[in-house]
Amino acid sequence: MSAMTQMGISRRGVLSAALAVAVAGPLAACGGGGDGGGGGGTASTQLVYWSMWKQGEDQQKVLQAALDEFQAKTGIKVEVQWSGRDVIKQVAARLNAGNPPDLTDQDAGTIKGILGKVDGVKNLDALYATTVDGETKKVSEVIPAGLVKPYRSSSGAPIVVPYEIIGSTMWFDGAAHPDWVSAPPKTWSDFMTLLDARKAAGRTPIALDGDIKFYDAYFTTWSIVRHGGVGLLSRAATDKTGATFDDPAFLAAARDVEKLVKGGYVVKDFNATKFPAQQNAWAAGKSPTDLLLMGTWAPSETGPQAASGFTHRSFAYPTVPGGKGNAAAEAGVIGFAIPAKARHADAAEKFIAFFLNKDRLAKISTETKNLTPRSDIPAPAVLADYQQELIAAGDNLFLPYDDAGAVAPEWVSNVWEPINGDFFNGKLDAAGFVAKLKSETVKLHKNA
Amino acid sequence: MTATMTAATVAPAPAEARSRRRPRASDGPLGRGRRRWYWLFVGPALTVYLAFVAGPAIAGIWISLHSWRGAGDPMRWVGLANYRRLWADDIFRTAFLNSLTILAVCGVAVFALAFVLTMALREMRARSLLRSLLFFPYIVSPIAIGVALGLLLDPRGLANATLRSVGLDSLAQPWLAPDRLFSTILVGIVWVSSGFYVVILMAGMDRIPAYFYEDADLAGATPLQKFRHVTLPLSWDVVSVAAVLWVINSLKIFEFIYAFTGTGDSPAPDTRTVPIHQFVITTGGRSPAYLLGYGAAMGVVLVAAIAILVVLLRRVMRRDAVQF
Repeated sequence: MSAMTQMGISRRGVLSAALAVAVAGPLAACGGGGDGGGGGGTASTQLVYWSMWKQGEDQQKVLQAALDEFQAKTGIKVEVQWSGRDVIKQVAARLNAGNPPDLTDQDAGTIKGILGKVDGVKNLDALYATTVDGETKKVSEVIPAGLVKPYRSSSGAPIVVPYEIIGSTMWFDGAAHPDWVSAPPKTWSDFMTLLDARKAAGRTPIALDGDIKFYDAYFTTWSIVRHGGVGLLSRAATDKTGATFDDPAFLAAARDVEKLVKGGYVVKDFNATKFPAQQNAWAAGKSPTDLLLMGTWAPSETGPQAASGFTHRSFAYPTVPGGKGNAAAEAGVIGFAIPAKARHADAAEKFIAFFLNKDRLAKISTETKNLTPRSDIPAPAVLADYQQELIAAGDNLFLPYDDAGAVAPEWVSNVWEPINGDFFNGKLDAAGFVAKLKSETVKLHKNA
Repeated sequence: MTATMTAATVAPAPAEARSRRRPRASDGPLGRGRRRWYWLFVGPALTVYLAFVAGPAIAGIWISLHSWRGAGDPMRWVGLANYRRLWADDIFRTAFLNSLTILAVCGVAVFALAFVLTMALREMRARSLLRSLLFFPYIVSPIAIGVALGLLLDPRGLANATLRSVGLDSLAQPWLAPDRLFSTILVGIVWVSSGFYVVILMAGMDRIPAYFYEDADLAGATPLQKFRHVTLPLSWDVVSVAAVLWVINSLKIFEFIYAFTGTGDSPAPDTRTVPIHQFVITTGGRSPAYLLGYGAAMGVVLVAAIAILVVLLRRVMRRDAVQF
């Protein structure tokens, strides 16, 4: 009988939750409206901002301070909601109802993949032509064009204004390996020499949290970009015939990665632990590892666990003979976007131009230890190596999974990640990896 | 499933109403008054039911016949294409088999364990305390359990350290390695779920008067005979309710596996269940695919599977109630 009572309670619970939503919905809808501003010519007196950051995060503190200053200086009343990483999904739901927030932010690939795909964000070409608050430079003059090139609307206008750059690079302890700081391995053969030397010293030099396929795929993505150039992987992901996988770059890349996986260079049991066990062990010196191919967030994620004296330094993924992407660097951005139908879009644009001011944006570097898109703001010390890598790459930049996450999300979840898992778990060799990618890609497109 | 069960209890009402609506000679003012009041009383409940249970269920079926990304995207009619696609989707087939494996393998284990524990607990003194302790894993957030087990089962974690310390080095395994992960998940589900069914079965068995057992003792019955001839027949109705609950709950298992396989990106196909795969192709994963029509088709198939299994199970387990 207790089961029946429990079912009764849970049903009632669901009902009251549903009622609460029904009641809260219209109330929340009232919040945004009222003063009419926006596109009507008169300036808005209100700004509704839903953020990817959560209360207490460093970025949240920096943004909150800027919002307070903005409200005090302009008289525009700011309503902010610190929603967390799922914010774009929440904004997408509100687009349908017609009352989205005026301003939001997230990883630009996410914005493009979710909102951009349904024309749910405003074109920002006008904003790029306005001047940054308190300066003489235009927005387009402080934000490198290469960074925002991938994020365009169907009409070709930019849809995101970045304020933070993230990317992946090869991390190591600069204190333990000063020779890698002064002379980092440049080519694949330099890299293999380095790995062999470490292996001979009894180490498994590569640390990897293999339960996260995204981290396995850092290696395959980088290798494919190095051999075949930026854009090849996402072209292959969307090629219904699968013929793109016949490009010799795929097999060459897979052979390189296979050497790492099968050559005993990757830490033992890398696929039988749970993130962040391996990266923490790497930083703490508790595993015989030296290298971590990881995002620019590695110093902040592993910093608290790091052994004393550990100095985060990085070098670029090695180049390959004849590679078409040898000059490329991985760089994604986190930035602002203005949802279509936003009622106070003018206020949102005003805030973006306000926040991009050098002194305000510099706090992203000094207080959150992240890289900003402005080259006149110095990088935090741990990201200085990565900034050099980025400057050398110019606008030859690529995104995680070479942007396949935005152009072919189902392919990423059901083809790319599982097959990378099988490859790293030793179920596929290099040729098998490429062959399976090809056949599963064809199958996915046939069924879709 | 709640929907199906509610439907079953509500369905007779309109039929009854129809027969009453037909005017009869004996219908006096009282009858007419009753008819008026009937809808007044039934109305609110029916409205709530239609709006929050029947409506979303029908909408789910409707969406499953479309291609739709949700937010701001016009729905495009595709007929049964989503269902044909399910048929051709290898990952869905794996997920469906995984769900059935959990239902069957974990089901046998959970009920066997629950019966054994129930029998053992029946004769113990601190049984209500023990019962609470057994129920404990069921209360703790599955996410927390998933994370804790990850630490426990780490190759250098407590589980392997304990095995090594007692000399059983050969048994120490990388429990979370891809080939072993699903088996580890099965064991975890049994551990998490058993307490709940122990509590239900014990509630049923507590009603059995002690003199049946005393009589069995006098007749020299073994514990197994007591179970077969006293406990099982006299708690059969509770066992069958518990079995139905298991069918429903086991096919819906989501959070435990999700927490266990890592929330960073999409769980590997070998470890997906239907709800996990449904999540991955809709709003889950590192880059959500938003195939909401396809996801709805999976939901329809899952509900249909549950309904069929529950009906079959009720038939198989139907017995005349023993009066006592």
